[in-house]
Amino acid sequence: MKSKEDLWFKDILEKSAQELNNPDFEDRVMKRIEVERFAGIRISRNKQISWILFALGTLFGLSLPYLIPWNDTLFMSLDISQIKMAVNVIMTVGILIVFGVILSGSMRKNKIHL
Amino acid sequence: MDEIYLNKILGGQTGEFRYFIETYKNFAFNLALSVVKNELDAEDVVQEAFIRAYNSLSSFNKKSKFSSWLYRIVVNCAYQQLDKSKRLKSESSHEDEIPIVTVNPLIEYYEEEEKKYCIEQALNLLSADESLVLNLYYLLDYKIREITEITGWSVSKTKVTLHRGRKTMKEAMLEVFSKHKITL
Repeated sequence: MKSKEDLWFKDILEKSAQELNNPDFEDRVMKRIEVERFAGIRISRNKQISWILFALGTLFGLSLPYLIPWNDTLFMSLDISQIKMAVNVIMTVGILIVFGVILSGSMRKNKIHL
Repeated sequence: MDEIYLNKILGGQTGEFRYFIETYKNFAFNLALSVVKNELDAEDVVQEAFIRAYNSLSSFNKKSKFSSWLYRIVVNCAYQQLDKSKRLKSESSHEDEIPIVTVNPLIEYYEEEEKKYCIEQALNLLSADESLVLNLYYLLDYKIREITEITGWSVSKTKVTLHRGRKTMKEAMLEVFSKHKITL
């Protein structure tokens, strides 16, 4: 049972109630939902592609030292084992950096801010 | 009805979300407006809230009412917008800001419109919390327990804010209406 005061407040607030008078409002919201949905799908696909490319690149990078026919000679006054070591270090650092970037990207939500 | 549309959307019929927008946009708008006190900001809040609601629709617990869940999102978005506006205001610090008049001055002559305008002015004198709780309690007919679910406040805070809101509202109405020499 509502008191007289409650009814007065209800009446006052009903009088002050406003309508959202934007005829495009529904269309605008629906359009944003659609855009975000498709962007989400695209971002998710891009993430998958980046993991596949990363795996292929890593595989290629790791197998590179075995694919090149190294001769036991000096190259630019450097010993071949030293060059191999340098290539391996650069490759490992590169893989770790790219792995970190892709991982942080994958953990983000598939969302765009419009 | 809500559940039927909810199942349709979760089943992949994205377009059916329009039903929720059409049904709840005005209530959501009034709630947002009670917090941010500005029509443009309130519209942005409602838009953001509907998008957030759509994105987290799959996590909606069907035990509670869809409207309560949606209004909770609206309230969160509104307070975020309010914080953003306060930050912007303190950065620009315009002391003599022109108040936003939400009623067309041409129709102010009509008694009802003038009353409405005065009520809006009085509501603008209330804090965001007071205005929100009054709207939830009187306009949307929510019980105290439901208001605590929507706002995330405790029962005691809700009751105190409602009590303070009523008091401030009466004082604000007296002030505004005596200034405009109008009787309710």
